[in-house]
Amino acid sequence: MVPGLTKILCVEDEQDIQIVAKLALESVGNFTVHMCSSGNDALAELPGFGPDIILLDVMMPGMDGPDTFKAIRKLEGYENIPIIFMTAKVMANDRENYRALGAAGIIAKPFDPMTLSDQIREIWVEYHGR
Amino acid sequence: MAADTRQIAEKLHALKAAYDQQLGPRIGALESALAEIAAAGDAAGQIAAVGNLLELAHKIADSAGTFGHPKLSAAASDLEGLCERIGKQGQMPSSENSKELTELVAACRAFAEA
Repeated sequence: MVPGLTKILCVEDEQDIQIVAKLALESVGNFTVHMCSSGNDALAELPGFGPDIILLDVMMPGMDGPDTFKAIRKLEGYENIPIIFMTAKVMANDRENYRALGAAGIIAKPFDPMTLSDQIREIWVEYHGR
Repeated sequence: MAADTRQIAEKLHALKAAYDQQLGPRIGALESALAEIAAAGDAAGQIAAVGNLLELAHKIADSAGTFGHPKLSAAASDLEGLCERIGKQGQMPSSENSKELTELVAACRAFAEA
C-alpha cells in the first residue's frame, strides 16, 4: 500500500522558480510545501518540517544538489527519504548518475506548473512500488 | 484540484508578466558580465568574470523555459555550458570562445526581445 503524500520540501535557489513551484504544488497539487533556497537551509529546516519527499535543484551555488543529497542521506531518519532531482540537464548520462546516486526520480526543467504535482505523485507511487 | 484552474492560470500569467518585465535588466547583466571578461586585465580576472557570466546564464537557463521562453532558455543553457567549459580549461578564453560568448549573449538578447 502506498502511503499518503502531503508534505514536500523544495530546495531551489532561483526565486522565480520557487514562486511558480510553490503555486503549482500548493494550488494544483494541494500539498503542504516548504521552500528552501540552499542545501544548507534544507539541512537545517528538514527535521522541523518533516517532509514526505524532497524536490531538489541540481545546480545551486555553494552546496549543489548532489552534495545536498549526500548530506541529507547522512541525517538520522532521512537515510531513505525519496529525493527527486530537478534539472535542466537531462542528458542520458546525467540521469544515470542521479539514479546511481539513489534519486527517486528526475524532473526536467522547464516544468509544466499544471502537471508538476502529477509527476511527483507518479514518482512517489513508483518509489513505493519498488 | 485545490484551486480553480482559471485562478491558477491567472496567477501564472501574472508571474510571467512580472518575469518578462525583469528580462531586460537580466540580459543587460549578461552583457555587462561579457564586457567584464574583455575588460579584465589578466587570466584570473577573465576566469572570474566567466564564472559570473555562467551564474547569470544559469539563472536564465533554469527559469526562462518555465515562463514561456524556451529558445531563450536554450541559448542561455548553451552559454552556461560554454562558460563551464572555459572555466574548466582554467585559461583565458580563446578568440574563438570569446566570439561564441558574444554570439550567445546576442542570441539571448534577441530571444528575450522576440
